[in-house]
Amino acid sequence: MRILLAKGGLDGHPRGLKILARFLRDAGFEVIYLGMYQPAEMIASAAIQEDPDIIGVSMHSGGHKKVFRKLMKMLADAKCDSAVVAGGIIPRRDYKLLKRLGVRLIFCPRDSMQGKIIPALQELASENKNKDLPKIFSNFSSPAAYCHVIGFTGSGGVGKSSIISALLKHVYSERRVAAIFVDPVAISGGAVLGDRVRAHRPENFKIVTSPNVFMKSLAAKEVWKGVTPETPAVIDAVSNAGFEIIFVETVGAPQYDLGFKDVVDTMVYVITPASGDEIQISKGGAIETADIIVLNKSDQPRSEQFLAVLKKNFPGKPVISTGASLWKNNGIPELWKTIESLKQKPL
Amino acid sequence: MPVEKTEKPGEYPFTGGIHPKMYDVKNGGRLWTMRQFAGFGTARQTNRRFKKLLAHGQTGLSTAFDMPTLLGFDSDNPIAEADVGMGGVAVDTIKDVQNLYSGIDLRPPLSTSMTINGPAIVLLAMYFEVCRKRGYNLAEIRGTIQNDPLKEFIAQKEWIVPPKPSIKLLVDTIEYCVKYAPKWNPISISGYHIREAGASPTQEIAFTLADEISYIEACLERGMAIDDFAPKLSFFYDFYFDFEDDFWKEVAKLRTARRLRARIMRERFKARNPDSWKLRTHVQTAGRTLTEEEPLNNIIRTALQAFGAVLGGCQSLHTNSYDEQISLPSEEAAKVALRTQQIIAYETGITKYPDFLAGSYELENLTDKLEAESWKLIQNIDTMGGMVSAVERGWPQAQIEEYEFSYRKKVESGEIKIVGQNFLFDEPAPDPKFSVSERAQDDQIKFLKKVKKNRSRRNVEKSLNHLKRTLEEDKNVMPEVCEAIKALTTLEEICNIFKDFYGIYSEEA
Repeated sequence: MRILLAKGGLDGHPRGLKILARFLRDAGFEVIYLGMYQPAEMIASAAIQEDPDIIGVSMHSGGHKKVFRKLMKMLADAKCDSAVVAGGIIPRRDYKLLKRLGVRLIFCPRDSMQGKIIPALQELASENKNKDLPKIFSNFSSPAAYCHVIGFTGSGGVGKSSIISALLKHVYSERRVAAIFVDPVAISGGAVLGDRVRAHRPENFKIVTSPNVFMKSLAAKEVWKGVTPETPAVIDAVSNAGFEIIFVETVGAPQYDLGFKDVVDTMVYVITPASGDEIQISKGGAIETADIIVLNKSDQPRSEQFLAVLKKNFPGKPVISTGASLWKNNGIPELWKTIESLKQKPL
Repeated sequence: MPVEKTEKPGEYPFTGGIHPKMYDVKNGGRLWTMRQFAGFGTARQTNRRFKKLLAHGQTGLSTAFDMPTLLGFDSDNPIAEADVGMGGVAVDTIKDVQNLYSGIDLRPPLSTSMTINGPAIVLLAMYFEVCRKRGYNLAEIRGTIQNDPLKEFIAQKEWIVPPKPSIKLLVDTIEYCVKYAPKWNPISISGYHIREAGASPTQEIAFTLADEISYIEACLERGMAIDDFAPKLSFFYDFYFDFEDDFWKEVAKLRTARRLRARIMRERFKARNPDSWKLRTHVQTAGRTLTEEEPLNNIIRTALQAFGAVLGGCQSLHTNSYDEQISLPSEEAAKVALRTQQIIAYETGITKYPDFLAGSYELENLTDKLEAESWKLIQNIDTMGGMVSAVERGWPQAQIEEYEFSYRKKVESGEIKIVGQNFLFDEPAPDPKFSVSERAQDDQIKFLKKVKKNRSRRNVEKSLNHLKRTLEEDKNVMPEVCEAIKALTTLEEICNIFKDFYGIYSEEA
């Protein structure tokens, strides 16, 4: 069961949606969480790429008619057959219009999440189609002649997906670029896949909706070499659809990442100054097999000292400082240059 | 730490209120400002609503902006399509602000509040330039701009640039106001949004005060003296209740916040001016307690919350309209909401007693308990390196989400009862009586296009280049923002300069 959740338009009010995401995860759903401020075009892009069973759009702003009209048309044009459901504040008088547009279910604030919404979504997900991987790519073009797969590993919270989203932004206007995010699952088997949300800011509208960009979120029901057993097949499929730069993010537990190097061409290990003594522990682990080390959040205290320790411990390895929240010189152009130098595009 | 129960309102640490006579007008007190939050569609439409509210006896203005404005987008940006004028009024250029307050005397006794954060510096410049153009003396103008960036990252999520540069822009506005508009409140440090996002009363108190500590440190670093700006830092709290986080805790919350703030200002920051110690606050009744079903019940909820806010000693009050769960306030509902606080002010007689509840054993106990809990939380944030680091780590965000998740489970199980919604309900929600027309959206876009066509592109470019240069020099950008808006540069054009220079910000998981 896979569901995509978003607030439509420039709507804020994420309180209910966030809680619903947690209840859905606990009920065994894979939840691709886009969060707030999602114009129809951004929801449609994500839906086409992620191919969920259900697309849940919540709205409190009153702009639901415009958003659903556009969303349903874009999904139909792309032959996306995910079931669309609506929630939030939708006046009763607009139910007919939304149903006519193809919205399957409409929920209101009184509806109990566990008692009503989740059982209804489970039923809806079970009636939906069995999708195989290649179908997702029918909207995309021919295979890439050249492909560079770049893996990102490092502990949870070091900012891997922020770096990937900054790199996407840096290269997408000239290259066809994809990102594959792998997230761990909860005990329930469900997961909140929250990496994609990093790129889904309204300021990134052009990037997220560009035909040059593709993003896919995977739930690691089984962890294999830091990713999932199906990841190599997804990489192949993405490459066959014409994406020549593919970023892959691991589940974010370096102790499982041995062997990740085999899955990718170039491996980047991300660490922060707050990681402290972790460097001693991980010496000899994934960090040693990495091609590039990134010191992210380099505006944090003790960054300089930490950088020196890294350079001393891993001589000859490129170590690059980045900071997605830095004012200037966020390190992304330099990181990209280093990555490119490791597997040049043939002339 | 328990307080001498002989403490009087108007005395340090102001547990019972910041004035000795509070609302007792006959004996030198002052009634709270009745300030109803309003805004929708175009500036002209909102202007008509403002005039109606003033005619009904409202004593201050409060402006609600639409989502594109709050996020720094113009009405003609395609991503704003569904939201122009929907949740508030659309503002693109100074022309809109002129129309918004047209025909209203903005000089005292009137004061104006603007609820905007990321692009606050732009709206503040627009308001000040409108005042200047009318020939007002800026030094006399009263009002408040929300301009509270950290709570955006904690709860409301309407930021435009990362936390540190957001605080830089805030300090620019504080510095400018101290110099040119000393009666203006350049910030309203807001617990309201934090609470509405699901926080506990303790979190609401602690996070607002920890936010303020970060702002004060930034101002001191800029070289300002504490007593020059501290008296102009104002606050904004929620008045909420459910069976667990009850009515009395909310009254105690307002008392606790005042007491703690007074101590922080006097002991930690060594402020000497008593005005620097006093926490002045606007209160809004809790939007999240309102139900979509049986909306008339919301009048009762709002009345009780407003009464609580008065018992708690607010300086300014917004009472919600009963139909706010289903739409923006209709004219009728907005009037009932205003009448609610007028009945409390003019009929109940509560205004004759400054701090009526002082000495109540339960209330004093609740106050002491909240104080101890909040103080612990503030110290926690201190050890994390202050609120900016805590926010970057996602810590307060996670704390609120946990609290909200546990609350939601109680609503799901029926342990927390909401009359007409999860308990004793027998009718579906009605349709809204009020909506913003798509025609208003088109009008706004047409108006902006006309303004853009008739301005000098060269002057706009020049003003934006000046702004860019000032950012690079890391100087106060307020004068350049004022120049830019006079050249009819749009909100989005200015915000894009900030976004390009400082970067955009996504939350860490």
